[in-house]
Amino acid sequence: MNVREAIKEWLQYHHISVVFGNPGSTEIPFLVDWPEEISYILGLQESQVVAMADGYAQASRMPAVVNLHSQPGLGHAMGALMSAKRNRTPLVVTIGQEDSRHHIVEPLLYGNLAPWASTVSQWSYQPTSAEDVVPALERAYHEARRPPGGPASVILPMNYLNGQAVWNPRREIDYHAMPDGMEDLAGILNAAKFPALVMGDEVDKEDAWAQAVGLAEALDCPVFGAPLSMRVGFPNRHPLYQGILNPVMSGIIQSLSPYDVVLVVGGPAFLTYPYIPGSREWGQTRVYHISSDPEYLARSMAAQGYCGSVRVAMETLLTKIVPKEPELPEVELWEAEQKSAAARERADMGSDYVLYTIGQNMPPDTIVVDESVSHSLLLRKILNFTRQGSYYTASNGALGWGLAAAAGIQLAQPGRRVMAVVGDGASLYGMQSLWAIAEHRLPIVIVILNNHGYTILKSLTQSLYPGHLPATPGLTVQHVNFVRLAESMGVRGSKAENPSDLEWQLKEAWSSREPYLLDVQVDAEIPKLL
Amino acid sequence: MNFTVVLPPSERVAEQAGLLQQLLAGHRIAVVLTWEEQAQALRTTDILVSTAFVPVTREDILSAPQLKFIQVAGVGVDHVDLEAAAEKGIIVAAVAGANAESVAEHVIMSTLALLRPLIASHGNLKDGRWDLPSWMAQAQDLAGKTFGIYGMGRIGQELAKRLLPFRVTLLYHDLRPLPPDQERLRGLSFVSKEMLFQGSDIISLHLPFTPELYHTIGAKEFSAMKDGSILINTARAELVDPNALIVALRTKLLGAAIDVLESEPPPPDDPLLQMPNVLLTPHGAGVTLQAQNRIAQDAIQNVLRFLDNRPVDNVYVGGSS
Repeated sequence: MNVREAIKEWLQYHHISVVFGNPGSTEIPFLVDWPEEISYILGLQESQVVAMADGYAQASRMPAVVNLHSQPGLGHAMGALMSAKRNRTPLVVTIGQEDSRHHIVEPLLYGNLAPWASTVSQWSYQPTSAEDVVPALERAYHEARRPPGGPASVILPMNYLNGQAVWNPRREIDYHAMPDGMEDLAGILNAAKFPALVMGDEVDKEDAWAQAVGLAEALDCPVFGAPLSMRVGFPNRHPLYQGILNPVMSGIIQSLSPYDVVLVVGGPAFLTYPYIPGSREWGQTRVYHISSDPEYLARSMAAQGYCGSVRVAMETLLTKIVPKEPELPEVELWEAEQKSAAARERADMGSDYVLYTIGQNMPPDTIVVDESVSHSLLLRKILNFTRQGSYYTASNGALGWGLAAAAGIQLAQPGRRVMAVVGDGASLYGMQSLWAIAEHRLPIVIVILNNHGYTILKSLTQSLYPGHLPATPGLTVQHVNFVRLAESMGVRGSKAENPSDLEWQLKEAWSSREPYLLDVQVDAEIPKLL
Repeated sequence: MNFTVVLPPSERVAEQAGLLQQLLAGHRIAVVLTWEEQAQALRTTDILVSTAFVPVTREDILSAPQLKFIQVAGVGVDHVDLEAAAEKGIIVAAVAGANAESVAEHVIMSTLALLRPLIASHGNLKDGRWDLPSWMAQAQDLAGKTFGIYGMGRIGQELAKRLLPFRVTLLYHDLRPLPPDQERLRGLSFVSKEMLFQGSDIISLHLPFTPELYHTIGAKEFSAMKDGSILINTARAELVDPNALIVALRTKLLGAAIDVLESEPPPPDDPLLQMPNVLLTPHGAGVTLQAQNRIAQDAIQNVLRFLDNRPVDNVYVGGSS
């Protein structure tokens, strides 16, 4: 069996039925004689290919395979690979390479790729022989899953794919270790007078909402969403939920200072955005942190960290916590507040109105992919997230991820509807993904929140340099016809300039079983950032 | 036709009486100000133009053999014995909505005056006390508060419309919820009566009074209200148990604005008069100059409809006999 055939067998052994790629010359040996059972999802640019695979891997909860083209393709993909690394998304990345027999003369597509790839991978390797290829892929599969998870890259010289393959013994590894110290932590939580919880992305990634809700109710304590979290770690309509912490350290400390014990469950503690001068001292508050990611714990603000599965940790804690009788407050006021705010901003197509209307029209089981940037905090407040696995965003602020990730997520979750809510600026980094969405007839509702530029940057400019916004170039993007762009790639679209447009177009979009893009002319008011 | 017109206790009585004489030229007009005068005039009256300040009792109606039509110059008809009117085949109509804007403005004024310690601060300054520290310790914004409206008729809707720009959350309770589209456009959320009292920072009453609603706001409702919340009553005094209100004002409410009292004017020993966190007005929320004109115009228009045998607006008792 040659390596080419062995790779396909290896894919099928791992039940990998989808490979994402954008080929060049070096990928032809990889693609010839492609089996019908495995879909090759073509993306039109490598950053989109990686982002699609990122979404697919997160939504399918297994590593996804990406096929990149040598040094030009790796170069294009670097930003998206960095997002995947920061997202802790397991990807097996194959990168084409010139035939090894003329590397010494550095042919057109050659590059010393392993060092590049290593900066955005958990592991990277260029096999030294054909026999090495499948064992390298097998190792990459496990390296990608190794906590915290991320890309593992294998560089494939063209000629190796024609050589004889060698199989290596395959193995299964359970990385969800039980963290030590739960007995002590339970004692600390039981003794706390005013405990609080912060739920991060790992809760959602490990399907641990039920444990998170159980722990919160047993402690009868407030729950905060981790700042800038890539996933929603707690149902945002639960009566104990207090909203998302602001991504500013002084604000986080201020919000958590009323509590004597704070337990951060999953994700970093804490991911922040702008620097604001202020103390990082916690005062009387003691912070504890559970994560399966040693790096998160190494840079944590917590006094004590526990490394291991957050799901297992919470299950263990629940057996040791003395449950309180929760006095759950009424939750109807959440909806009422949003309804009033939406009505107030309706005439101006304000953000509260637009997001409320989007939320009212989306089916309850919808998966939301959020690249709305300046609207993201409001989106997570207004839209209902009552089922786990319903919210995705890139964890590193990279733009151009959302549309492609939505495609990957829809491929992985064909039974649920997907909505991508994307800023106009962000969408233009990844508009090619509409082609893949149309090509595969993915019924994604794409909402472009169009405020004509990089509003988050305008907000930041106003906060850091008040009065200087008019003389700051490069923040406005106008004259883009999103509907025609969408139509040119096979996606139906419409422009919503007023409330009645928005209301009927959302109904139209959701009733369609085809992809649909709405260009929503949202009020361009610049929100206050700090 | 013989008319009896009861005028409200306004300083503009003479002016209004003159206007009526012009509008109803050719008819005999008796202008009265008190119940005694009304009782006397009713014996020969065909049409009574009534106001809430002078009751129309069963005895009054039974002693008015010619009476065919009672037009209330106001929005409420509970000062009229409707049962007796129905028995006698007398049509009773009122004026709907003419004072809605005025009451809505009054509620907002009262809310802001209580959230900022307006009256106390004004008094302190007049007494020579510069009370900025006290003001700073008490003054609150309306923005961000949850406002509960009990009764979503015309006044409730006018109030909601005016409150929305204040950046408040609007809750309401009514026997008949608005259609969902109306709620969405107005930013209103229907909640149970219990939730209204639990969830609101300010509650304003805008429901009509019926005997079943006597003291419907009592100890149970006040105990559900938030600490530091506000009650506003511009509807009917009988809706609120005054003893429970006084206890709540002493123990948990920030304040109350009361425009309607069970005894008007109140006796000098009414405890509400002594409470520093009560804002009292003389049943005048709905009778601004503009509202008086609107009420008068609408009432007269209805009388003219009756005289012309056209359909009468806002009929409470049909007069079928």
